[in-house]
Amino acid sequence: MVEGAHAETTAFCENHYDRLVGGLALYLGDGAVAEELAQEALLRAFGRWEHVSQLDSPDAWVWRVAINLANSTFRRRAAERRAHQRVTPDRDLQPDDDPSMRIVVMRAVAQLPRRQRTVLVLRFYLDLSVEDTAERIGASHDAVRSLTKRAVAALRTEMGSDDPAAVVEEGR
Amino acid sequence: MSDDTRHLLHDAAPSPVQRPDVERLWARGRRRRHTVRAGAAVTAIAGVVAVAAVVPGLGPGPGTGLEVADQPPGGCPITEPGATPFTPPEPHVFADPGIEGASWYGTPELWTVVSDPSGPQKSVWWSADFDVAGENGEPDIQVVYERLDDPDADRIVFDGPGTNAFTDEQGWFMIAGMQPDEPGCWQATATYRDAELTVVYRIEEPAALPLPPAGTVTAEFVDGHPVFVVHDDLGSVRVLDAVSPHVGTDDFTKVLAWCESAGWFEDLWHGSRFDPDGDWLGGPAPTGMAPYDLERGGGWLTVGDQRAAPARPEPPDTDNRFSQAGPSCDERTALWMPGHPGDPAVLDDLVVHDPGDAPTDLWYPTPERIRGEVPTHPSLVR
Repeated sequence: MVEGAHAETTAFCENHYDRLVGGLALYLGDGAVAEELAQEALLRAFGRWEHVSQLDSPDAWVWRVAINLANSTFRRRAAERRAHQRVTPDRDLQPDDDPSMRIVVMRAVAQLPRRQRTVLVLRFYLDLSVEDTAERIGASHDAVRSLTKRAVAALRTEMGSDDPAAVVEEGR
Repeated sequence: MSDDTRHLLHDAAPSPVQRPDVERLWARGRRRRHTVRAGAAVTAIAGVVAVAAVVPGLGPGPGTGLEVADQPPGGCPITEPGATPFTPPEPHVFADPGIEGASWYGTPELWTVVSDPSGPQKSVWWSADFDVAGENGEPDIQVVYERLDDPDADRIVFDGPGTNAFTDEQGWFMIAGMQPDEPGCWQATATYRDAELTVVYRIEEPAALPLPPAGTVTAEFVDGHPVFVVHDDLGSVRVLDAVSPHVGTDDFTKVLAWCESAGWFEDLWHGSRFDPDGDWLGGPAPTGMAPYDLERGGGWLTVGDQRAAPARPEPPDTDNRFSQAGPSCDERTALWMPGHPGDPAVLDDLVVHDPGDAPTDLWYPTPERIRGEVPTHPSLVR
Protein backbone atom coordinates (compact mmCIF):
# COMPACT_ATOMS: atom_id res chain seq x y z
CA MET A 1 0.00 0.00 0.00
CA VAL A 2 1.19 3.50 -0.75
CA GLU A 3 2.44 5.08 2.51
CA GLY A 4 0.25 8.20 2.55
CA ALA A 5 -2.88 6.28 1.71
CA HIS A 6 -2.03 3.71 4.37
CA ALA A 7 -1.83 6.28 7.15
CA GLU A 8 -4.95 8.00 5.87
CA THR A 9 -7.11 4.93 5.55
CA THR A 10 -6.01 3.55 8.91
CA ALA A 11 -6.87 6.83 10.60
CA PHE A 12 -10.15 6.95 8.72
CA CYS A 13 -11.16 3.51 10.00
CA GLU A 14 -9.98 4.38 13.50
CA ASN A 15 -12.19 7.49 13.53
CA HIS A 16 -15.28 6.34 11.74
CA TYR A 17 -15.65 2.58 11.72
CA ASP A 18 -17.39 2.12 15.08
CA ARG A 19 -19.87 4.87 14.35
CA LEU A 20 -20.52 3.51 10.91
CA VAL A 21 -21.25 0.03 12.24
CA GLY A 22 -23.36 1.34 15.12
CA GLY A 23 -25.43 3.60 12.89
CA LEU A 24 -25.95 0.90 10.31
CA ALA A 25 -26.89 -1.61 12.98
CA LEU A 26 -29.58 0.75 14.21
CA TYR A 27 -30.72 1.46 10.69
CA LEU A 28 -30.89 -2.21 9.77
CA GLY A 29 -31.70 -3.69 13.13
CA ASP A 30 -28.85 -6.13 12.63
CA GLY A 31 -25.29 -5.84 13.90
CA ALA A 32 -23.74 -8.58 11.81
CA VAL A 33 -25.08 -7.28 8.52
CA ALA A 34 -24.02 -3.79 9.60
CA GLU A 35 -20.41 -4.92 9.89
CA GLU A 36 -20.50 -6.68 6.57
CA LEU A 37 -21.96 -3.63 4.96
CA ALA A 38 -19.56 -1.21 6.60
CA GLN A 39 -16.65 -3.22 5.24
CA GLU A 40 -18.16 -3.33 1.78
CA ALA A 41 -18.61 0.44 1.87
CA LEU A 42 -14.99 0.91 2.97
CA LEU A 43 -13.84 -1.36 0.20
CA ARG A 44 -15.66 0.77 -2.34
CA ALA A 45 -14.22 3.92 -0.84
CA PHE A 46 -10.70 2.51 -1.04
CA GLY A 47 -11.30 1.50 -4.66
CA ARG A 48 -11.68 5.17 -5.53
CA TRP A 49 -9.79 6.71 -2.64
CA GLU A 50 -8.19 9.37 -4.86
CA HIS A 51 -11.64 10.82 -5.28
CA VAL A 52 -13.18 10.07 -1.90
CA SER A 53 -10.29 11.41 0.15
CA GLN A 54 -10.65 14.77 -1.60
CA LEU A 55 -14.27 15.22 -0.55
CA ASP A 56 -15.25 17.58 2.24
CA SER A 57 -16.40 14.67 4.35
CA PRO A 58 -15.36 11.23 3.17
CA ASP A 59 -17.30 9.71 6.06
CA ALA A 60 -20.53 11.13 4.61
CA TRP A 61 -19.67 9.46 1.33
CA VAL A 62 -19.03 6.13 2.99
CA TRP A 63 -22.19 6.42 5.05
CA ARG A 64 -24.20 7.14 1.95
CA VAL A 65 -22.75 4.21 0.05
CA ALA A 66 -23.46 1.95 3.01
CA ILE A 67 -27.04 3.17 3.20
CA ASN A 68 -27.50 2.60 -0.51
CA LEU A 69 -26.19 -0.90 -0.08
CA ALA A 70 -28.44 -1.40 2.90
CA ASN A 71 -31.40 -0.34 0.82
CA SER A 72 -30.69 -2.61 -2.07
CA THR A 73 -28.42 -5.59 -2.23
CA PHE A 74 -28.13 -6.18 1.43
CA ARG A 75 -31.78 -5.94 2.18
CA ARG A 76 -32.38 -9.45 1.02
CA ARG A 77 -29.36 -10.72 2.86
CA ALA A 78 -30.47 -9.03 6.06
CA ALA A 79 -33.80 -10.76 5.83
CA GLU A 80 -32.06 -14.09 5.37
CA ARG A 81 -29.85 -13.44 8.31
CA ARG A 82 -32.69 -12.39 10.53
CA ALA A 83 -34.44 -15.61 9.72
CA HIS A 84 -31.25 -17.44 10.59
CA GLN A 85 -30.86 -15.58 13.84
CA ARG A 86 -34.21 -16.71 15.09
CA VAL A 87 -32.59 -20.06 15.69
CA THR A 88 -29.14 -18.87 16.81
CA PRO A 89 -28.05 -16.66 19.69
CA ASP A 90 -27.34 -13.00 18.93
CA ARG A 91 -23.58 -12.70 18.89
CA ASP A 92 -23.68 -8.92 19.25
CA LEU A 93 -24.86 -8.92 22.79
CA GLN A 94 -22.32 -8.23 25.47
CA PRO A 95 -22.92 -9.84 28.87
CA ASP A 96 -23.03 -6.55 30.74
CA ASP A 97 -25.73 -5.05 28.58
CA ASP A 98 -29.38 -5.32 29.21
CA PRO A 99 -30.19 -7.48 26.23
CA SER A 100 -33.92 -6.99 26.38
CA MET A 101 -33.60 -3.20 26.20
CA ARG A 102 -31.14 -3.31 23.31
CA ILE A 103 -33.31 -5.63 21.35
CA VAL A 104 -36.38 -3.54 22.00
CA VAL A 105 -34.65 -0.36 20.84
CA MET A 106 -33.04 -1.95 17.80
CA ARG A 107 -36.33 -3.49 16.73
CA ALA A 108 -38.25 -0.30 17.37
CA VAL A 109 -35.86 1.71 15.22
CA ALA A 110 -35.89 -0.90 12.49
CA GLN A 111 -39.69 -0.71 12.36
CA LEU A 112 -39.73 2.99 11.50
CA PRO A 113 -40.26 4.16 7.92
CA ARG A 114 -37.01 4.65 6.08
CA ARG A 115 -36.84 8.43 6.15
CA GLN A 116 -37.66 8.62 9.82
CA ARG A 117 -35.12 5.95 10.59
CA THR A 118 -32.47 7.79 8.60
CA VAL A 119 -33.12 11.07 10.35
CA LEU A 120 -33.19 9.43 13.76
CA VAL A 121 -29.82 7.76 13.25
CA LEU A 122 -28.21 10.80 11.69
CA ARG A 123 -29.40 13.19 14.36
CA PHE A 124 -29.23 11.16 17.55
CA TYR A 125 -26.59 8.56 16.85
CA LEU A 126 -24.23 10.33 14.45
CA ASP A 127 -25.10 13.56 16.28
CA LEU A 128 -25.52 15.69 13.18
CA SER A 129 -27.25 19.04 13.33
CA VAL A 130 -30.57 19.69 11.60
CA GLU A 131 -28.63 21.55 8.90
CA ASP A 132 -26.14 18.75 8.27
CA THR A 133 -28.87 16.13 8.32
CA ALA A 134 -30.86 18.15 5.81
CA GLU A 135 -27.87 18.36 3.52
CA ARG A 136 -27.13 14.67 3.75
CA ILE A 137 -30.61 13.54 2.89
CA GLY A 138 -31.38 16.35 0.51
CA ALA A 139 -34.36 17.73 2.38
CA SER A 140 -35.28 21.11 3.82
CA HIS A 141 -34.60 21.99 7.44
CA ASP A 142 -38.32 21.99 8.13
CA ALA A 143 -38.66 18.54 6.63
CA VAL A 144 -35.89 17.26 8.90
CA ARG A 145 -37.51 18.78 11.95
CA SER A 146 -40.86 17.31 11.08
CA LEU A 147 -39.34 13.90 10.34
CA THR A 148 -37.47 14.01 13.63
CA LYS A 149 -40.63 14.77 15.51
CA ARG A 150 -42.51 11.97 13.83
CA ALA A 151 -39.63 9.54 14.28
CA VAL A 152 -39.29 10.15 17.99
CA ALA A 153 -43.04 9.88 18.46
CA ALA A 154 -43.13 6.66 16.48
CA LEU A 155 -40.18 5.29 18.41
CA ARG A 156 -41.93 5.89 21.68
CA THR A 157 -45.05 4.24 20.38
CA GLU A 158 -43.05 1.28 19.14
CA MET A 159 -41.42 0.95 22.52
CA GLY A 160 -44.68 1.07 24.34
CA SER A 161 -44.56 4.59 25.69
CA ASP A 162 -46.94 6.73 23.74
CA ASP A 163 -47.23 9.84 25.83
CA PRO A 164 -47.49 12.48 23.14
CA ALA A 165 -46.58 15.30 25.51
CA ALA A 166 -43.08 13.88 25.88
CA VAL A 167 -42.18 14.45 22.24
CA VAL A 168 -43.47 17.92 21.64
CA GLU A 169 -40.12 19.65 21.88
CA GLU A 170 -38.38 17.27 19.57
CA GLY A 171 -38.60 19.32 16.40
CA ARG A 172 -36.70 22.26 17.91
CA MET B 1 -36.19 14.15 25.39
CA SER B 2 -33.61 14.48 22.62
CA ASP B 3 -31.00 13.46 25.17
CA ASP B 4 -33.12 10.45 26.08
CA THR B 5 -33.30 9.39 22.48
CA ARG B 6 -29.59 9.98 22.09
CA HIS B 7 -28.80 7.78 25.09
CA LEU B 8 -31.23 5.16 23.99
CA LEU B 9 -29.65 4.87 20.56
CA HIS B 10 -26.06 5.03 21.78
CA ASP B 11 -26.75 2.30 24.31
CA ALA B 12 -28.55 0.13 21.81
CA ALA B 13 -26.07 0.39 18.93
CA PRO B 14 -23.70 -2.57 19.04
CA SER B 15 -19.94 -2.16 18.72
CA PRO B 16 -18.21 -4.02 15.94
CA VAL B 17 -17.27 -7.56 16.88
CA GLN B 18 -14.20 -7.44 14.67
CA ARG B 19 -11.83 -4.66 13.76
CA PRO B 20 -11.59 -4.15 10.02
CA ASP B 21 -8.37 -5.32 8.42
CA VAL B 22 -7.59 -2.05 6.66
CA GLU B 23 -4.66 -3.45 4.70
CA ARG B 24 -6.76 -6.25 3.33
CA LEU B 25 -9.75 -4.06 2.52
CA TRP B 26 -7.47 -1.66 0.72
CA ALA B 27 -5.91 -4.41 -1.36
CA ARG B 28 -9.31 -5.88 -2.19
CA GLY B 29 -10.81 -2.49 -3.02
CA ARG B 30 -7.97 -1.66 -5.37
CA ARG B 31 -7.97 -5.05 -6.98
CA ARG B 32 -11.70 -5.13 -7.49
CA ARG B 33 -11.48 -1.78 -9.18
CA HIS B 34 -8.91 -3.11 -11.57
CA THR B 35 -10.85 -6.27 -12.14
CA VAL B 36 -13.87 -4.25 -13.10
CA ARG B 37 -11.79 -2.41 -15.62
CA ALA B 38 -9.99 -5.42 -16.95
CA GLY B 39 -10.87 -6.34 -20.47
CA ALA B 40 -11.06 -2.76 -21.60
CA ALA B 41 -8.05 -1.71 -23.63
CA VAL B 42 -6.18 0.78 -21.54
CA THR B 43 -5.35 3.99 -23.29
CA ALA B 44 -3.29 4.96 -20.33
CA ILE B 45 -1.56 8.22 -19.92
CA ALA B 46 1.70 6.67 -19.03
CA GLY B 47 4.15 7.81 -16.46
CA VAL B 48 7.83 8.14 -16.97
CA VAL B 49 9.52 4.86 -17.56
CA ALA B 50 11.08 3.53 -14.44
CA VAL B 51 14.08 1.34 -14.31
CA ALA B 52 15.78 -0.08 -11.28
CA ALA B 53 18.71 -2.22 -10.30
CA VAL B 54 20.30 -4.50 -12.76
CA VAL B 55 22.46 -7.57 -12.83
CA PRO B 56 22.79 -9.36 -9.48
CA GLY B 57 25.71 -8.03 -7.53
CA LEU B 58 25.93 -4.91 -9.61
CA GLY B 59 24.09 -1.80 -8.62
CA PRO B 60 23.00 0.61 -11.27
CA GLY B 61 25.83 2.84 -12.32
CA PRO B 62 27.89 3.99 -15.23
CA GLY B 63 27.36 1.83 -18.23
CA THR B 64 23.78 0.80 -17.45
CA GLY B 65 22.59 4.12 -18.75
CA LEU B 66 20.15 4.72 -15.93
CA GLU B 67 20.23 5.75 -12.31
CA VAL B 68 17.94 5.17 -9.38
CA ALA B 69 16.05 8.27 -8.40
CA ASP B 70 16.44 9.50 -4.83
CA GLN B 71 12.76 9.90 -4.13
CA PRO B 72 10.63 7.24 -5.73
CA PRO B 73 7.25 8.86 -6.39
CA GLY B 74 4.34 6.97 -4.94
CA GLY B 75 6.59 4.28 -3.54
CA CYS B 76 7.53 3.05 -7.01
CA PRO B 77 11.32 2.89 -7.37
CA ILE B 78 11.40 5.06 -10.43
CA THR B 79 14.66 5.87 -12.16
CA GLU B 80 15.54 8.54 -14.67
CA PRO B 81 17.69 7.98 -17.72
CA GLY B 82 21.29 8.74 -16.80
CA ALA B 83 23.74 10.94 -18.64
CA THR B 84 25.64 8.01 -20.20
CA PRO B 85 23.35 5.71 -22.12
CA PHE B 86 24.06 2.03 -22.34
CA THR B 87 25.43 1.15 -25.77
CA PRO B 88 24.84 -2.34 -27.09
CA PRO B 89 28.05 -4.21 -27.99
CA GLU B 90 29.21 -5.45 -31.39
CA PRO B 91 27.61 -6.45 -33.65
CA HIS B 92 24.56 -4.68 -32.18
CA VAL B 93 25.93 -1.19 -32.42
CA PHE B 94 22.79 0.86 -32.42
CA ALA B 95 23.19 4.30 -30.94
CA ASP B 96 19.57 4.50 -29.81
CA PRO B 97 16.53 2.25 -30.14
CA GLY B 98 15.08 4.34 -32.96
CA ILE B 99 12.03 5.20 -30.87
CA GLU B 100 11.46 8.71 -29.65
CA GLY B 101 12.09 9.08 -25.94
CA ALA B 102 13.30 5.50 -25.55
CA SER B 103 16.66 4.34 -24.15
CA TRP B 104 18.63 1.15 -24.10
CA TYR B 105 19.04 -0.36 -20.68
CA GLY B 106 20.98 -3.34 -19.33
CA THR B 107 24.25 -5.13 -19.93
CA PRO B 108 25.74 -6.86 -22.98
CA GLU B 109 24.41 -10.15 -21.61
CA LEU B 110 20.84 -8.91 -21.43
CA TRP B 111 19.35 -5.57 -22.28
CA THR B 112 16.01 -4.07 -23.18
CA VAL B 113 14.49 -0.85 -24.33
CA VAL B 114 12.62 1.41 -21.98
CA SER B 115 10.06 3.72 -23.44
CA ASP B 116 6.66 5.23 -22.81
CA PRO B 117 4.81 2.21 -21.38
CA SER B 118 1.35 3.30 -22.53
CA GLY B 119 -0.64 1.09 -24.79
CA PRO B 120 -0.06 -2.58 -25.56
CA GLN B 121 3.62 -3.40 -25.90
CA LYS B 122 5.62 -6.53 -26.37
CA SER B 123 8.08 -7.68 -23.74
CA VAL B 124 11.30 -7.39 -25.78
CA TRP B 125 14.89 -8.30 -24.81
CA TRP B 126 18.32 -8.37 -26.46
CA SER B 127 21.48 -10.30 -25.71
CA ALA B 128 24.89 -10.58 -27.36
CA ASP B 129 24.52 -14.29 -26.66
CA PHE B 130 21.24 -14.68 -28.53
CA ASP B 131 21.81 -16.72 -31.67
CA VAL B 132 18.56 -16.89 -33.56
CA ALA B 133 19.72 -19.77 -35.75
CA GLY B 134 21.33 -21.74 -32.94
CA GLU B 135 18.21 -21.69 -30.78
CA ASN B 136 15.84 -22.27 -33.68
CA GLY B 137 14.48 -18.82 -32.94
CA GLU B 138 12.99 -19.92 -29.62
CA PRO B 139 15.15 -18.39 -26.91
CA ASP B 140 14.86 -19.66 -23.36
CA ILE B 141 13.91 -16.27 -21.96
CA GLN B 142 11.83 -16.04 -18.81
CA VAL B 143 10.17 -12.89 -17.54
CA VAL B 144 8.24 -12.41 -14.32
CA TYR B 145 6.04 -9.34 -13.86
CA GLU B 146 5.13 -8.35 -10.31
CA ARG B 147 3.17 -5.46 -8.87
CA LEU B 148 5.37 -3.65 -6.35
CA ASP B 149 2.45 -1.60 -5.09
CA ASP B 150 0.15 -4.56 -4.56
CA PRO B 151 1.80 -7.71 -3.21
CA ASP B 152 -1.52 -9.55 -3.42
CA ALA B 153 -1.82 -9.04 -7.16
CA ASP B 154 -1.18 -12.10 -9.27
CA ARG B 155 2.24 -12.38 -10.87
CA ILE B 156 2.41 -12.72 -14.62
CA VAL B 157 5.03 -15.22 -15.71
CA PHE B 158 6.34 -15.85 -19.20
CA ASP B 159 8.10 -19.14 -18.72
CA GLY B 160 9.74 -19.40 -22.12
CA PRO B 161 10.53 -20.26 -24.74
CA GLY B 162 10.03 -16.92 -26.40
CA THR B 163 9.86 -15.91 -30.03
CA ASN B 164 11.97 -13.44 -31.99
CA ALA B 165 11.87 -10.61 -34.47
CA PHE B 166 14.25 -8.45 -36.46
CA THR B 167 14.33 -4.83 -37.49
CA ASP B 168 17.01 -2.92 -39.36
CA GLU B 169 17.25 -0.44 -36.49
CA GLN B 170 17.31 -2.96 -33.67
CA GLY B 171 18.69 -6.24 -35.03
CA TRP B 172 17.47 -9.59 -33.74
CA PHE B 173 15.64 -9.58 -30.43
CA MET B 174 13.64 -11.89 -28.19
CA ILE B 175 9.94 -11.54 -27.39
CA ALA B 176 8.62 -13.04 -24.17
CA GLY B 177 4.96 -12.01 -24.49
CA MET B 178 2.82 -8.94 -23.99
CA GLN B 179 3.91 -6.55 -21.25
CA PRO B 180 1.17 -5.97 -18.63
CA ASP B 181 -0.42 -2.56 -19.05
CA GLU B 182 -2.78 -2.38 -16.09
CA PRO B 183 -2.26 0.68 -13.92
CA GLY B 184 0.30 0.15 -11.17
CA CYS B 185 3.99 -0.15 -10.40
CA TRP B 186 5.32 -3.12 -12.35
CA GLN B 187 8.64 -4.85 -11.89
CA ALA B 188 9.82 -7.08 -14.70
CA THR B 189 12.60 -9.55 -13.96
CA ALA B 190 14.02 -11.22 -17.05
CA THR B 191 16.38 -14.20 -17.03
CA TYR B 192 18.31 -15.35 -20.05
CA ARG B 193 21.17 -17.84 -19.75
CA ASP B 194 23.22 -16.55 -16.80
CA ALA B 195 22.02 -12.97 -16.98
CA GLU B 196 19.21 -11.32 -15.07
CA LEU B 197 17.78 -7.87 -15.65
CA THR B 198 15.18 -6.02 -13.61
CA VAL B 199 13.11 -3.19 -14.98
CA VAL B 200 10.45 -1.23 -13.11
CA TYR B 201 7.87 0.83 -14.92
CA ARG B 202 4.73 2.54 -13.89
CA ILE B 203 1.39 2.76 -15.63
CA GLU B 204 -0.62 5.66 -14.29
CA GLU B 205 -4.30 5.44 -13.55
CA PRO B 206 -5.97 6.68 -16.68
CA ALA B 207 -7.65 10.04 -16.30
CA ALA B 208 -10.64 8.59 -18.00
CA LEU B 209 -13.93 6.86 -17.40
CA PRO B 210 -14.60 3.26 -18.31
CA LEU B 211 -17.00 2.89 -21.22
CA PRO B 212 -20.16 1.12 -20.06
CA PRO B 213 -21.52 -1.72 -22.19
CA ALA B 214 -23.89 -0.70 -24.98
CA GLY B 215 -27.42 -0.15 -23.75
CA THR B 216 -26.41 0.89 -20.25
CA VAL B 217 -26.02 4.03 -18.16
CA THR B 218 -23.42 4.42 -15.42
CA ALA B 219 -22.91 7.00 -12.71
CA GLU B 220 -19.38 8.40 -12.42
CA PHE B 221 -17.48 11.34 -11.08
CA VAL B 222 -15.33 13.66 -13.19
CA ASP B 223 -13.01 15.65 -10.96
CA GLY B 224 -15.48 15.14 -8.16
CA HIS B 225 -18.47 16.23 -10.21
CA PRO B 226 -21.27 13.68 -10.75
CA VAL B 227 -22.04 12.69 -14.33
CA PHE B 228 -23.95 9.99 -16.14
CA VAL B 229 -22.35 8.05 -18.97
CA VAL B 230 -24.92 6.91 -21.52
CA HIS B 231 -23.94 4.27 -24.04
CA ASP B 232 -27.00 3.64 -26.16
CA ASP B 233 -27.95 0.59 -28.15
CA LEU B 234 -26.80 2.22 -31.36
CA GLY B 235 -23.32 2.66 -29.92
CA SER B 236 -23.29 6.39 -29.38
CA VAL B 237 -21.90 7.67 -26.10
CA ARG B 238 -22.72 10.78 -24.08
CA VAL B 239 -21.49 12.13 -20.77
CA LEU B 240 -24.13 14.30 -19.09
CA ASP B 241 -24.06 16.50 -16.02
CA ALA B 242 -25.95 14.64 -13.30
CA VAL B 243 -26.80 17.74 -11.31
CA SER B 244 -30.35 18.83 -11.94
CA PRO B 245 -30.50 22.11 -13.89
CA HIS B 246 -33.46 22.98 -11.67
CA VAL B 247 -32.42 24.63 -8.43
CA GLY B 248 -35.89 24.59 -6.95
CA THR B 249 -37.09 26.35 -3.89
CA ASP B 250 -34.95 24.58 -1.33
CA ASP B 251 -31.68 25.79 -2.78
CA PHE B 252 -29.77 22.56 -2.47
CA THR B 253 -28.01 20.63 -5.17
CA LYS B 254 -30.14 17.88 -6.54
CA VAL B 255 -28.71 14.97 -8.40
CA LEU B 256 -30.82 13.33 -11.05
CA ALA B 257 -31.55 9.63 -11.05
CA TRP B 258 -31.56 7.42 -14.11
CA CYS B 259 -34.89 5.64 -13.95
CA GLU B 260 -34.26 2.42 -15.73
CA SER B 261 -37.87 1.40 -15.26
CA ALA B 262 -39.12 4.56 -16.94
CA GLY B 263 -36.33 5.10 -19.46
CA TRP B 264 -35.61 8.70 -18.53
CA PHE B 265 -33.59 10.80 -16.10
CA GLU B 266 -35.67 12.28 -13.35
CA ASP B 267 -35.32 14.89 -10.64
CA LEU B 268 -36.99 12.89 -7.90
CA TRP B 269 -37.82 15.95 -5.86
CA HIS B 270 -39.44 18.25 -8.35
CA GLY B 271 -40.26 15.89 -11.14
CA SER B 272 -38.28 17.25 -14.09
CA ARG B 273 -37.54 14.59 -16.68
CA PHE B 274 -34.93 14.27 -19.40
CA ASP B 275 -34.57 11.75 -22.17
CA PRO B 276 -31.41 9.62 -22.52
CA ASP B 277 -29.89 12.34 -24.73
CA GLY B 278 -30.29 14.78 -21.84
CA ASP B 279 -33.04 16.75 -23.58
CA TRP B 280 -35.79 18.26 -21.47
CA LEU B 281 -39.01 16.27 -21.40
CA GLY B 282 -40.99 18.15 -18.80
CA GLY B 283 -41.00 19.77 -15.41
CA PRO B 284 -39.64 22.98 -13.96
CA ALA B 285 -36.01 22.58 -15.08
CA PRO B 286 -34.98 25.57 -17.22
CA THR B 287 -32.78 23.54 -19.58
CA GLY B 288 -31.81 19.99 -20.51
CA MET B 289 -28.79 18.22 -19.03
CA ALA B 290 -25.43 19.75 -19.93
CA PRO B 291 -23.25 17.44 -22.05
CA TYR B 292 -19.47 17.14 -21.89
CA ASP B 293 -16.92 17.01 -24.67
CA LEU B 294 -15.42 13.57 -24.81
CA GLU B 295 -12.92 11.47 -26.65
CA ARG B 296 -13.38 7.79 -27.04
CA GLY B 297 -10.45 5.41 -27.13
CA GLY B 298 -10.45 1.69 -26.50
CA GLY B 299 -12.71 1.00 -23.58
CA TRP B 300 -12.20 4.45 -22.11
CA LEU B 301 -13.63 7.92 -22.36
CA THR B 302 -11.57 11.02 -21.79
CA VAL B 303 -13.88 13.75 -20.60
CA GLY B 304 -13.28 17.36 -21.59
CA ASP B 305 -15.16 20.58 -20.95
CA GLN B 306 -18.81 20.94 -20.20
CA ARG B 307 -20.86 22.39 -23.02
CA ALA B 308 -23.98 24.52 -22.77
CA ALA B 309 -27.10 22.65 -21.77
CA PRO B 310 -29.64 22.17 -24.55
CA ALA B 311 -32.43 24.74 -24.39
CA ARG B 312 -35.85 23.41 -23.56
CA PRO B 313 -38.75 24.06 -25.87
CA GLU B 314 -41.39 26.54 -24.89
CA PRO B 315 -43.76 25.13 -22.29
CA PRO B 316 -46.54 23.33 -24.07
CA ASP B 317 -49.92 24.96 -23.98
CA THR B 318 -52.70 23.45 -21.98
CA ASP B 319 -54.09 21.62 -24.97
CA ASN B 320 -50.79 20.02 -25.78
CA ARG B 321 -48.91 19.79 -22.54
CA PHE B 322 -46.46 17.21 -21.32
CA SER B 323 -48.14 14.68 -19.11
CA GLN B 324 -46.95 14.28 -15.57
CA ALA B 325 -48.21 10.74 -15.57
CA GLY B 326 -45.82 8.07 -16.70
CA PRO B 327 -44.01 4.90 -15.81
CA SER B 328 -42.98 4.75 -12.19
CA CYS B 329 -39.37 5.16 -11.16
CA ASP B 330 -38.32 2.01 -9.40
CA GLU B 331 -35.59 2.95 -6.97
CA ARG B 332 -34.42 -0.63 -6.82
CA THR B 333 -33.23 -0.36 -10.39
CA ALA B 334 -32.72 3.40 -10.55
CA LEU B 335 -29.21 4.71 -10.66
CA TRP B 336 -27.92 7.69 -8.74
CA MET B 337 -24.68 8.96 -7.32
CA PRO B 338 -23.61 7.00 -4.32
CA GLY B 339 -22.58 9.33 -1.58
CA HIS B 340 -23.76 12.54 -3.06
CA PRO B 341 -25.82 14.69 -0.73
CA GLY B 342 -29.17 14.74 -2.38
CA ASP B 343 -29.14 11.06 -3.06
CA PRO B 344 -32.75 10.07 -3.63
CA ALA B 345 -32.23 6.84 -1.76
CA VAL B 346 -34.09 8.53 1.04
CA LEU B 347 -37.25 8.43 -1.00
CA ASP B 348 -39.52 5.48 -0.77
CA ASP B 349 -38.85 2.37 -2.76
CA LEU B 350 -40.94 3.24 -5.69
CA VAL B 351 -41.64 6.71 -7.01
CA VAL B 352 -45.12 6.07 -8.26
CA HIS B 353 -46.33 8.53 -10.81
CA ASP B 354 -49.88 9.67 -10.58
CA PRO B 355 -51.59 7.51 -13.14
CA GLY B 356 -54.36 10.05 -13.58
CA ASP B 357 -52.02 12.95 -14.36
CA ALA B 358 -52.26 16.36 -12.74
CA PRO B 359 -54.74 18.60 -14.50
CA THR B 360 -52.46 21.56 -14.91
CA ASP B 361 -49.26 22.64 -16.58
CA LEU B 362 -47.56 23.26 -13.26
CA TRP B 363 -45.21 20.57 -12.14
CA TYR B 364 -45.29 19.44 -8.59
CA PRO B 365 -42.71 17.89 -6.34
CA THR B 366 -42.56 14.17 -6.81
CA PRO B 367 -43.31 13.44 -3.15
CA GLU B 368 -46.50 15.46 -3.43
CA ARG B 369 -47.53 13.67 -6.56
CA ILE B 370 -46.80 10.28 -5.12
CA ARG B 371 -48.76 10.98 -1.99
CA GLY B 372 -51.69 12.04 -4.12
CA GLU B 373 -52.04 15.28 -2.23
CA VAL B 374 -53.51 18.28 -3.95
CA PRO B 375 -50.52 20.31 -5.11
CA THR B 376 -50.35 23.71 -3.50
CA HIS B 377 -47.00 24.95 -4.75
CA PRO B 378 -47.50 27.28 -7.67
CA SER B 379 -43.98 28.48 -6.95
CA LEU B 380 -42.82 25.57 -9.02
CA VAL B 381 -43.05 27.00 -12.46
CA ARG B 382 -43.77 24.96 -15.50
